[in-house]
Amino acid sequence: MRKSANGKETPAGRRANRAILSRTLFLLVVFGIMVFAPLFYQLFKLQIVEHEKYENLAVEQQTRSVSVSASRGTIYDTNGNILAISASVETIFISPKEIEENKQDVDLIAEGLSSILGVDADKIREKAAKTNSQYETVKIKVEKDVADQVREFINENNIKGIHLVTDTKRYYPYGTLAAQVIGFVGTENSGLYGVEALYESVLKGQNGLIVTAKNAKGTDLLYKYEQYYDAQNGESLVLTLDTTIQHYVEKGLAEAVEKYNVKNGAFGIAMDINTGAILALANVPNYNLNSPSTVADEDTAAELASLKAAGDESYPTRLADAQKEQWHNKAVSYTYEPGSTFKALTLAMALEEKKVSLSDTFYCSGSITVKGWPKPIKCHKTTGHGLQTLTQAVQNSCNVAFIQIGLKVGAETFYEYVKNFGLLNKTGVDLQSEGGSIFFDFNQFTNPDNLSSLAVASFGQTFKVTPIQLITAEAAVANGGHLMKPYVVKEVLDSDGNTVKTTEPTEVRQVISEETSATVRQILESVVSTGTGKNAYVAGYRIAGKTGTSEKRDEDTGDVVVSFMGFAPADNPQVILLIGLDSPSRDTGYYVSGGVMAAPVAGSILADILSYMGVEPEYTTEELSSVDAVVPQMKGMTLEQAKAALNLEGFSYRVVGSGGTVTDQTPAGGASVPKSAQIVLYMGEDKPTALCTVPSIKGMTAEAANKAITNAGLCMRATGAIAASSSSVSATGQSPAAGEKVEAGTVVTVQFTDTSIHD
Amino acid sequence: MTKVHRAELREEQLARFGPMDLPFLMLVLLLSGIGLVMVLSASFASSYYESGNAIFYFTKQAVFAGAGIAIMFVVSRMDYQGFRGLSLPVLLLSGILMIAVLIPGIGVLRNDARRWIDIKVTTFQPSELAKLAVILYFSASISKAKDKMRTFRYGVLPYGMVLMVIAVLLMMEPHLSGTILILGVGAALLFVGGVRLYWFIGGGALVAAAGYYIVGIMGYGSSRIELWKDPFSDMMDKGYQMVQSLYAIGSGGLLGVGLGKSRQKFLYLPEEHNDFIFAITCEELGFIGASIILILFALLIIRGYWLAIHSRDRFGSLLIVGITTLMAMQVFLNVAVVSNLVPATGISLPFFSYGGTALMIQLTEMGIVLSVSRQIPAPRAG
Repeated sequence: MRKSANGKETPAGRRANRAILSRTLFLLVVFGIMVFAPLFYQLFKLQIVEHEKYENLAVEQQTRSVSVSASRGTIYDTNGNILAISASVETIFISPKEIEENKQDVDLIAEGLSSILGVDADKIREKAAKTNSQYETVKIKVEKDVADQVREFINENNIKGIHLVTDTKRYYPYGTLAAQVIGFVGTENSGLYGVEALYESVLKGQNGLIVTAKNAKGTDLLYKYEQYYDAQNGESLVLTLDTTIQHYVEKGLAEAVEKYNVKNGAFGIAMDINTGAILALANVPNYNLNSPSTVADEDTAAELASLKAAGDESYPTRLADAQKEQWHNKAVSYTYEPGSTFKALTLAMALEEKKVSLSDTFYCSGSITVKGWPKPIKCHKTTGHGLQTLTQAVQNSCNVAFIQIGLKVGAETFYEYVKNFGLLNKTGVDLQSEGGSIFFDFNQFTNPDNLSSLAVASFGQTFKVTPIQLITAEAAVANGGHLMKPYVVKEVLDSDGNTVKTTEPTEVRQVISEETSATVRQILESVVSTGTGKNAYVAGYRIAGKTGTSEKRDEDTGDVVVSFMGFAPADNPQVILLIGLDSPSRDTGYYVSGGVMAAPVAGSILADILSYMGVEPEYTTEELSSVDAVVPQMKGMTLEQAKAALNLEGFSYRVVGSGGTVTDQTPAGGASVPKSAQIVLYMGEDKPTALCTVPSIKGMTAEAANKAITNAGLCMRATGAIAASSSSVSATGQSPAAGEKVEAGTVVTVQFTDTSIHD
Repeated sequence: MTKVHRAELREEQLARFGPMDLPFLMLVLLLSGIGLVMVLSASFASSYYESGNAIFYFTKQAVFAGAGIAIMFVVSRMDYQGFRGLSLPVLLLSGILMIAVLIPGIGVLRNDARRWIDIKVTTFQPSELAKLAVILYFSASISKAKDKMRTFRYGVLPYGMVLMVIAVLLMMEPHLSGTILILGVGAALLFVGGVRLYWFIGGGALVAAAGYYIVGIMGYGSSRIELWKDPFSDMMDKGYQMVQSLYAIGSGGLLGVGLGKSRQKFLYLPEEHNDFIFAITCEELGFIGASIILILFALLIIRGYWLAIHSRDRFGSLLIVGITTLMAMQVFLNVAVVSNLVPATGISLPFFSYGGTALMIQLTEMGIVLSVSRQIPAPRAG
């Protein structure tokens, strides 16, 4: 322009050229530079400042993530039996939208699914009518074989709109066994109760994720874009529980609850006395883990069903209460007054503090007056136990003697021991909702002007502990003084079965010395052999223990908790058992006491446990006469030969017929029967083939019972209080039941109970 | 033939064979190349889903780009002085086409607007031609008018009339963005041509008032304002495209998700290879990549105005000013719309947006600029 302007241009042209020059420069600045500023600003704002916000929003719409569920860990008992395991199941859902779009036959789908899954066909139709929906669940947790039927149905009828997705379901192979310990999971497969809930983080694992990019139509992109986050499978737990022992305890409790018409349920704990490992922990009422919401107690269930049928408003709350009741783990959360079972602790502290010795004597007049309490405190035997040695005082469970022992120990020392025995703190057992104890305030307890608290605490009343606290403390008394922290999870295994973590037994503290413990064991063994615990006696097993009947002072029902704490073998204890029956009926004909009701149950449970644990029975000479022996095979023998064989085992016999050789015998050769049994030898005469009827021996003495059973052609095995030759000992239970038809020579087990025991 | 005339001829011949402006050419080729790559990337998904051939759009665009570049070179070798004579016929032609497009049967109706004429091979927008026509006609006319531009009668009235007619025709389609661009280009040329500044204040006010009135009457665009303020208020329907565009730009971040790796192009963002191609560019190349492209555009625009300043004559200057301003406005408005800086209107991004005729016309325009650049006398030594 410059050049062409030279000479040729008019002044007007030059002026125009100048305008073009300056105004173009202006446009250059505006359009070449200035307008870009807001653009850069806006891009910076969107791409840098708000980047994350938009990226998240974009990713949310662009991706589809599919969760890969981690498999939940398995729960094993101590021997590797599976208590809880997850298995694949399927959820069946329909896509009403797809059904409509593909013009599928809704009735066919509804009827088909209804007949396979047992879901109401009308409900399916209702769901299918929601044609905007892509996902309507028909049934969750459908097992594989049923799901396969659904698949077949889909294929056969070429249906579009029915879908199946994999899910997992928790199975509890033992059903009701140890229900309150194991607990259960909810529909989302997370633990709701018990170990399942407490160890949720261990069992759960980490769900994986597959993130797939999708286009706006929801299908995959042209190129594969997938990101995997591997699922981390849950770890497995090995519990200290032993299904066999658990079964023994549960069976014993259930029978006792039935027999004594126990109103408020029962609890039982079996523990490895030296480690604190819980071998069994049972509660009544129980429930089935595979259907935890179903009320297991038949009476309650029936009552609820009638409430529901009547449309009663209280039904939902009543149902919830009943469920809570059965899910409740009484053995760790319930607090009660331990009663006489606590006397073992009072005894231990007094011996440890050398306030009493085996040679001390205590006089019981039936009551005692203590400082600060206006009325005399009565013993359960109001006529008094008279003069007793220390051992006798324990055998009699004499409250007056124990008040004297408690007073000798002194309030402060007593309080210190209660604390050291762990009764003021939770045990820290790895179970849900452990309860805490209720004990006296220190200042009130140690008030020198009022010894009443100390006096009643000495025999285990007016304070409350949980069963788990009590058994832990009692274990310390018996195991050499070591207070062990109880536990139920023994090991944690990774998904390949390698041990990740092992729980080592934890000693909280040593409370008493080995010597004191040995002395207490000896005394407590005598409680079972001759004292209030004699109903727990089992020939061959050295069971030591203490009975308890505890009043419920905070209720005016007059109900009691009858209990028994026992351990065995007495000289080298392996296992300790505590059972409690809450509020047995007073109308069953049994005297309501721990010695009468709880001891026999505990004795038989302990015997089962010891036998299962392989503890060899050791018989006293006296016991030997009633222990079992194997009946020799005598067919074809002469009478002389048979006699010799029977004498060798110590059996008595009678002969039927007059042939030269034994043609048959009852019981059969090889059977194990008590030595007191009489063997019948048939010499030529036919053995009667008719079955024998079990006689009713209830209320009979041991002698009478044996006679009745032998006359019926059967053998008797006695358990319980048979060592004591008291007139108050009588048969209280038998198995098989009276009236049953059994083969000749069958062993009838008879429980003998000293029904006069007060404790 | 005078001596002077002969000298002039020689000079012209020299100028005709002078080199074209290399920086401008390189910027054009660079932007065309990047634009083509982005068309490939952005259209990949929709092209596949629509036609089964993922490079269908790209192939078409590449052919037009090749043809366009060829035309650009041909035009660059022409003597632009000859365009003066073409200016009026082209303007009249575009006027006729703009009337024709309004007639149903000739004009194709899309999205409630009749802007396209179907010419079998492709569709054609008369407004595209109108832009070029206005530039040619105004440049030719203004360069002759010189001082008269300062008067109302010769400097304002005729041009105002032409713009008014075109604006009315375009608004009947309706075609708001086309109207804005043509009015803008016309105004820029009048501004550079020497029209007194107060006319711009008055004219601006008039256009604003008319625009407000038209928008009010037609209801066309008023909901755009609401959506502009908050596209998320109707993100499933009317705000959908804007929201998707923001997702694309925002998720690009500093460095982008990588060339070809946009996910928003997978049918989320409508017009992703068209008006909204820059959003995909931002997603794939990030703030850095988008900035580089904007800087290239800025350099092209600055170089354009620089060439205008140095042009041999007023006609050349005005041609370049018109073409450069048109491009600058399109770049600004497109990026501003895509990033929701201004309310949405359909403006394509030069060299990037898919569209054969538009690309060819742009490259033709670049050819004109290059043609003018060839006649810039070499600066005197010293």
